[in-house]
Parts: sequence; structure tokens; C-alpha cells
Amino acid sequence: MMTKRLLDRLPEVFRAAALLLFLLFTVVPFYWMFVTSIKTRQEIYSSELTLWPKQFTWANYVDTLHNTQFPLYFANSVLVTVVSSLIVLVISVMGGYSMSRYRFRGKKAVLLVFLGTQMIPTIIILVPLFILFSKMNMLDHLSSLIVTYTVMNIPFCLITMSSFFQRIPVALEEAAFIDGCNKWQTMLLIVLPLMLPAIVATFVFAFTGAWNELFFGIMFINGEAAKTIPIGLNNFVQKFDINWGQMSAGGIMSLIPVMIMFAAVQKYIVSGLTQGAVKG
Amino acid sequence: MQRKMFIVLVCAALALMMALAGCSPAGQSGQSQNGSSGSQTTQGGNGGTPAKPVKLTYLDPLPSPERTALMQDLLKRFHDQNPNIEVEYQSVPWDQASKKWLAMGASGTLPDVVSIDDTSMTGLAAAGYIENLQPYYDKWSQTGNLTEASKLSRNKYKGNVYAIPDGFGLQGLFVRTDWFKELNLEPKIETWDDYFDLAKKLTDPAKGRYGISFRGGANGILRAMEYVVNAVHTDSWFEKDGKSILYRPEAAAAFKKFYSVYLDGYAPKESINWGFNEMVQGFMNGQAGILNQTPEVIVTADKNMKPGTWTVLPMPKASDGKRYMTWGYTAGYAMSAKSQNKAEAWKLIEFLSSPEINLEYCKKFSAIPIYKKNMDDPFFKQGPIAGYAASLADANIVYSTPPSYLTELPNFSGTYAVQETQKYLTGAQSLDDTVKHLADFLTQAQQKYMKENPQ
Amino acid sequence: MPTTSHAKTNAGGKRRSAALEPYLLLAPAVLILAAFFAYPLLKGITLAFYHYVLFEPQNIYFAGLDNFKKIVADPNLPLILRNSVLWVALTVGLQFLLGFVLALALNKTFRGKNLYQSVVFLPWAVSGFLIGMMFKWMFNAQNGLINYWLVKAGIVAKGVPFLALPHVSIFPVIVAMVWYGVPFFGIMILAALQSIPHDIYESAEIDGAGSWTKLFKITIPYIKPTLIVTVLLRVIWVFNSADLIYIMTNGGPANSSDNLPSYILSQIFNTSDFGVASALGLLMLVLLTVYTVIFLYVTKYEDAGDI
Repeated sequence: MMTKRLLDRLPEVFRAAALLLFLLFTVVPFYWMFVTSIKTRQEIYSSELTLWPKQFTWANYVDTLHNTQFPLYFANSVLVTVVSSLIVLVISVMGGYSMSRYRFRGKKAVLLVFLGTQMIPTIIILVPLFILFSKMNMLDHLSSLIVTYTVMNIPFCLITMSSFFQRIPVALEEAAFIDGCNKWQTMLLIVLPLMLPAIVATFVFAFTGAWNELFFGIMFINGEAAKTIPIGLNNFVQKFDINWGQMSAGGIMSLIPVMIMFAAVQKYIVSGLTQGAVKG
Repeated sequence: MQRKMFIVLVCAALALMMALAGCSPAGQSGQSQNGSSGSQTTQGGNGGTPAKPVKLTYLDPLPSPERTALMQDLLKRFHDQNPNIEVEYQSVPWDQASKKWLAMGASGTLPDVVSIDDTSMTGLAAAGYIENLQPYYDKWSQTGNLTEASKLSRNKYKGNVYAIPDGFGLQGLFVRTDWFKELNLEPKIETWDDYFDLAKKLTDPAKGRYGISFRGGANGILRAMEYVVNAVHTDSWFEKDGKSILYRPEAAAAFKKFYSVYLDGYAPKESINWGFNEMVQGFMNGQAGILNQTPEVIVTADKNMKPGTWTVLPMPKASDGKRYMTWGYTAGYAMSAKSQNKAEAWKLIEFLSSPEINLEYCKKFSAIPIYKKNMDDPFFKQGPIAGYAASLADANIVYSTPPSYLTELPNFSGTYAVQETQKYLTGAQSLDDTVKHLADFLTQAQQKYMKENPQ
Repeated sequence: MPTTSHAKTNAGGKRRSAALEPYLLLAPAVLILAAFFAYPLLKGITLAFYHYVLFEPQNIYFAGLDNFKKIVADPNLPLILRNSVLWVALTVGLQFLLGFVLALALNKTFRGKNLYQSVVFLPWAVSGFLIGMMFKWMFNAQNGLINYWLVKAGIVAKGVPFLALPHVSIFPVIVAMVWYGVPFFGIMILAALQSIPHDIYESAEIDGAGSWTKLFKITIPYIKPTLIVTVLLRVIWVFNSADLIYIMTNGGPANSSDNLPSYILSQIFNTSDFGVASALGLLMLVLLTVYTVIFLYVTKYEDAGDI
């Protein structure tokens, strides 16, 4: 009896330990970024490492907001990311449903082609893609980034989506079908609510993928007007100088929208909802 | 439960609509932003002038708050002088710049005027992306006023000028005077022997201090070759028949001596991967006492280091009393071969390269001016930049240039030599093999060039 | 008994096979990929068979297999391929393992869970560029945080130049990559765990199953399709990822931390030889396709789900 109870509690102990270790592992780089963001230039470049600034300053934040185009980059990033990840989401739900619920000719080929698009280094396709966008007059324009990030994220999101669909029992849909729902109603009323955790996860994936992307951003955007946050952060690394303070401040600030997004969508990954739906 | 699902559903539908509707406004807003930023520069210009309005673009590979502000101001002043020409400022961070030039060149979208560096110039010229400026250069009223150095500068491909240097980027030695003081050493580096001697003296691993801010990464070989030409007293990397000077035993010995700084532990271990950025960082954050760099770095050091803890010394003299100078430029002005408005683009280059603007620019970014007259400005007689001016004033100067006319040079200095020297520094390859591989690579490229371009 | 209903899935699929629906549903994805990726991809693949050096615009010709011969003759290639395998295996392996543990640990409510999740998933939202810069600094021998702590703790006498040591320098990059990638597995696996109906666990508990039994008999089989897909996708993605390597070590010293895409990156822009680079890219495509086919076969993905 005793051993069994101990064994049963063991996972709880592991769980707490694991959670704590993860927190530490995750927080260290953020801590360093934050500490750097509130140090002065001289302190950052001094040979002595300080765990907390001797001379505390918010100047890096103020400078980043006032002396750079960061607020504009911010708006651009939000626009590009939200639009492209919503498009990705809709297309992936449709495509993922198709891949998981139907048998059709060419399905394997489609899967392999989707995966294939991710197997070539981006460098190889850069120049042709650049030429394509220049012909379509999309260079130096947010639309080029929206399209690129959408195209980049679709294969992964769609395939992930289809794997989530597979775990929803078909019987559920069939029951709805018998109850008189048509296919669309079934999808919208029965399947999608069940899929919420998956939809949220996929959205997060598409969101962060677009939010972080640097290389195409640098290549396709020239003017200040259409730059995004990663490009703005990269601008703090100049030829000889790295503005660590402002780069860290900008990095910390760029995390705020993502944290808000995480907080907003998290409640949809609650088990209650899924459980209720399955039972009901 | 039903109600909850319904809400979710409505949300999803709304999201879908927003996504689809979002496409077009997103595009439009981007456009209008571009438009508005452009029209700002137009104001006060377009009205009243009979000349056809022209829109140019300029691409800056060195954006920083200070530089961007000055360049935008210069472009505005240009517009004030030429109300019909409006110039849009564009930028790309330095370490991605060469990639962007290639992609833009290949797609025919290179901006009308673009600042490029000496190493990338030849490739862009060979690929046909940038315009031969020789016809403009020949007619330019200022050509005669340039310093000897700028005329010899690494801005030619097949004998033609393809870029007008923005400043003269010669090397100098940044030193930590505070370390020298602590050790009771005089901050003086007259000869290369002094350099190697000090590398050893300044090193104190217990304190995490090393003599040299070494460059083992991209373009580090340029510094090694700089020492090699000084050691063997030549102005070229090649013999007359196109063979690399590295085949000479004394050159190989010099190569070995140069890299012994790293192997003997007088440079931070990590500097094996360092490029231009890291070596400057390493000097500023107190890992290394001597840094071989160009005057641009003065601005950066000024910003990050305490005043009075550092200065710049002229490059050491070779044993024959001469200085074999390696030099170049970082942001020379070139013109896109695809520009629709070449006359106006040249006008802009002329404006940016004019003596007054060049002087202002060089003072702001601590560069050596391209005009003889500008060198007389008191600004270049004091402070760290005087170290550079002093070596230029030396009559015993020999201009020894890396072979920038070879399209293989970026690959050699940026990739091939990095891999080869790192193999040597990590003990994976012998000195003889390393020197031979490098010499073979260079010789092959040079002899191919000589065959294609007989004198 | 914890069995899943995939057999039914297949039957259900068959019944609906007649219509055009699957194609229509896939059409937007296929069309947008075709419109923007098809040309660049095909162009990239054809260039592998051309002598195509941007610096030699007058000298472009069909070169057959010349580029591939050059690749095979490259003495660096075996090292690069070995590094690539090490890079993928360690990165994905650790990301998966840690992500799985994290998801299990998060699959129960506790106080402050929302805040905890927001923090722990945050690395996924940091730009790769910033991650590279920060980790490069933290691993620095002189003024890096990690060495500072190692010295303070008495583990090493003086800072270790991790990024400068051949055959060691790849590991700090892997650590950074793991830090970045754990949340991805965490989120995906957690989402999968959330969709396991609770009554399955309840009936198992009535049968007297312990935590470990539940994990191996219910949880893992139930989320197997997600596990397979996430691993498959991550392997491809990580294999094709060069940015952290480029920033932290630039492949050095002496290529000892280069993987295939970072090697391609370092070659292509200095030589402008898009022919050879494309050939290397094609090699990567072939390797990953072979991997995908083997992986799907070995994991019996056909039986686990119907793709």
C-alpha cells in the first residue's frame, strides 16, 4: 500500500521539479536581456560583469521609442503577423480537414510537395523570389512579407492541423450528420470547437513564425516605412558598434504583444471545453 | 454548451472575414506609408521648376541613428539645390548588405545610387549590376583635387572607375593607454617587432587581458597579408608572373609569425571566429589591448569607452623604414547599371563627393577625406584621428593593395582563407599545407586574370 | 480498453471519397504555394545543373552534373554532413524530450498556471537573431554570464571559450536552439493532450491503472499522430535552419560547427556560384525526402493516421 502511494506521488514530485527547472532555464536569457536593457553603455562595455546594474537607467527604452522608428516597426509587425497568421489558419483548417478526412488521388504527392517546400534552403530561392516580387511590384511593401510568411507557414500548419483532425473521432461527425446537420454545419458546430486547442496552437505557430522572421524582411524591405521589428533590432548591430542596451530594450518590448497574445488565447486551451463538447 | 460553441463559431467566422478583407487594406496602407514618406521630401520642391521631376533612390548599408540622420539631411540639401530631383533614403544592415546587393542586382532593382565597399565592388561590376563611372569621372571637375591615395584606391575594375570612395579607410592601431600606464609602458609602436613584443607584454590571462584583438574570421587574412607585404617589402600580393608571394620562404615565415600571436596565447581564444564587429567589441570591453582598425571605429570607441583610456597610433614601419599601407573604403558611391536617370544619379554622387560635403561627412564619421585640401583641416591634426593623418603624411609610404580586381577575392578573404587559417590555428592542418593552399588559390585566380586581361 | 478509433476513420474517409470536396478544400493552400513557391523552387532546382555564377554573366551554360562532381570532391562535405546529423539529432531529440515533459507537467491545473505558461512559451516568440546574439554573449569566455557562474561555482578555474573550440562550438548553438524550440513541442503536445477525452482515463483508473501505465497505454498511443507529425516537421525545419549557427559561430572554427544550410550560406554570397549552391540544396532535398519516406514507413504512420 505504502509503496504504491509513493509511486503514485512520484510523478507529482517530478512535475514540480520539472516545472521549476524549466522556469529557470527559460528565464536566464530573459533576465540577461532585461538587465542589459537597464544598464548604461559604459557598464555594458566594462570588463566587469554585473548581475544587476550599478547605475540603473530607463534611457534605452526611452531612446528606442523616441529616437528610432520602433513604434512604426511595431505597427508593421503587428499588421503583417496578424494578417498572415489568420490567412494561414483558415487555409490550414480547410486543407488539414481535407487531408485527414478524405481519401483522394494524389494525397501523398500533396504531402510530399508540401514537405518538399521546406527542404530547400531559403538562400536558394531568394533570388528567384526576389525577381518574382519585383515583377509584381511588391518589393519594399508589407504585402511581400504577408505573402512570404503565409506561404512559409502553410505547409507546417496544414499538416499539423490534419494530424489534430485525425484524433477527432469520425463517429462524432457521423452522429451530427444523422441528426440532420449538413457537412458545413458539422464542421463549424461540432468539429471546430473540438479543435480549438489545436487551432490555437497552430495560430501561435504561424504568429511567432511571422513575428520573428528576419531574413526575408531585410531582403524585401528597403525603406523605413515598411520595416518590421526584427529588422529594427538588427539595425542596432552596426558595422562596429552593437547597441546592446537598446537592442535588449527593443527585444523586451517586442515580447509584450506576444505575451498578450499568449494570455488571450490560453483560455482556449482549457481542458473543460473539450471535455464538455465530447460528452455533450 | 451550445451557446458557447456558437460564440466561438461566430468569432471564427469573423476572423476569417477579417483575414480575407485584411489582405487589401494591408497592402494599401503599406503603399500610402511609402507614398507619404516620399512626399515629405517633395515638399517645397516640385512647385515652379520647369525641369522634369525625377525620383532617385539611395541605399545605405551602414544605417545608424547618427548616420541615417546625416544622410537624410544631405539628401534633403541635394533636393533643395535640385528641386526637380527627389531622393528616397533606403537602408540595409551591414552584415546583410552584400546579399541584398546581389539579390537586387540580379533582379534589376538596385537603387540608382548605392554605397558599396571595396571588396564587393568588383563582383558587382563584373556581374554588370553597377555602372562604369569612368566617363563621368574623366569629366568631373574635382578629379585633379583628389589625394594620391584616393586615385589609387580600390575602386577600379578592368581599369575603369566604378565607385567614388566616401573616405579613405587606412589602418591604424587602437591601443588601451590605461593598460600601458598600468604596466609603465610607453604607448608607442614604431616597428612590427614592437607590435609583437607588446602583444606579449600586454597579455595577462589571469586578468582576462590579451595583447591583440585578433581577427580569425571573415577578412582576417587581409591583416595577415598586410604584415606579410611589410615583412617582405613589396607592394603586391603577387610576383610578376602571377605567383603568390606566399611561396617565398620569408613570406611563409612572416605568415607564421603573424599567427603566432594567436597560437602563443596573446589573443583571446575566441578571436578565432572574430570578424570586424567582434574585434572592436573585444577591444572595447577590455579583452584586448591593441586593435588594428580603420578610422570609422573612432566614433564607436568614443561612444563606449571612457575618455583617456585609449588612442590611435600609426601603423608600424617595416624594417626598411617604409610603411606598406593597405587601404580601402566602406561606402563608396556607385550607380546602378539599370538606373533610369543616370545623369541625375551622377549629380547626386557628385554632390555627395564634393569637397564640402566630404569634409563634413569625414568629420562626422571620423574618416580620412578624399581631398588634399580637406586634410589641412585642424580636425585631422588632433585626437585619435591624428594617428592616421600622421601615417599619411609620411613620405615613406607605399600603397600596397589587396587584389580587389579579382572577383575571387571576396570568396578568398571571406570564406576560403577563413577555413584554411582556422584549420591551422586549431592544429588540424600544418603551416606548410595552409600556406600552400592559400598561395595556390591566389595564384590560380591571378594567373587566370592575367590571361584574360593581358597588359 | 484504451483503443483509438482510427480504423473507423478510414472507413469514414472511404464513404466520402467521390466528391470534389477534398480538392476544393486544399485548393487555396495549393494555389498560393504554386503561385509564389513553384517558380523559385523549380528555378533553384534547374540551376543545380547549370554553371551559374553571377559574377560571370557572359558565362552561363548547361553543365550537366559538373556541380555535383564539385560537391562530391569537396573535402569539407563529410564533416558538414556529420555535423548536420548531430545537429538535428541532438536538437530535435532534446526539444522533443523536454517539450514532452513540459507538456505533461502542464497538463494539470495549478495556481499561476496561466502566467507560468506565458513565460515558459515565450522563447518561441523571440527572434532568432536576438537569441543568437544573447547566447553568443552568454557563452563568451571573458564576460559571458554562463562562464561567470561556472567560475563562481568553482566548476572551472577560468572562462571556457566554448565557441572557439573545434567540435565543441556547435553545442552552445544547440543549447540556444533547444531553448528556442522546447515551447514548440510543449504547445503542440499540450494541445494534443488536452483533446484526450477524460472518460478514457477514468475508466482506466477504475481498472486500477497507475500513472505510468496511463502514460504508456493511453496518453502516448492517443497522441501518436501528433508526436509523429511534430517530430517529422521539426527534423526538416531544424535541418534547414542556419541562422543561429551563422550568428553564433559562423560555422567556425574551421567548419566544425557548420551544418549543410549554413555551409551553403557561407559559400553562396562570396562566390555568387548559385549553381553549386543549388546543387547542395538539391542534395539536401534528396536527403530529407529519403528521411521522410523512411520515417513515415518506420513509424507506421499509414496505420496511425491516414495521410
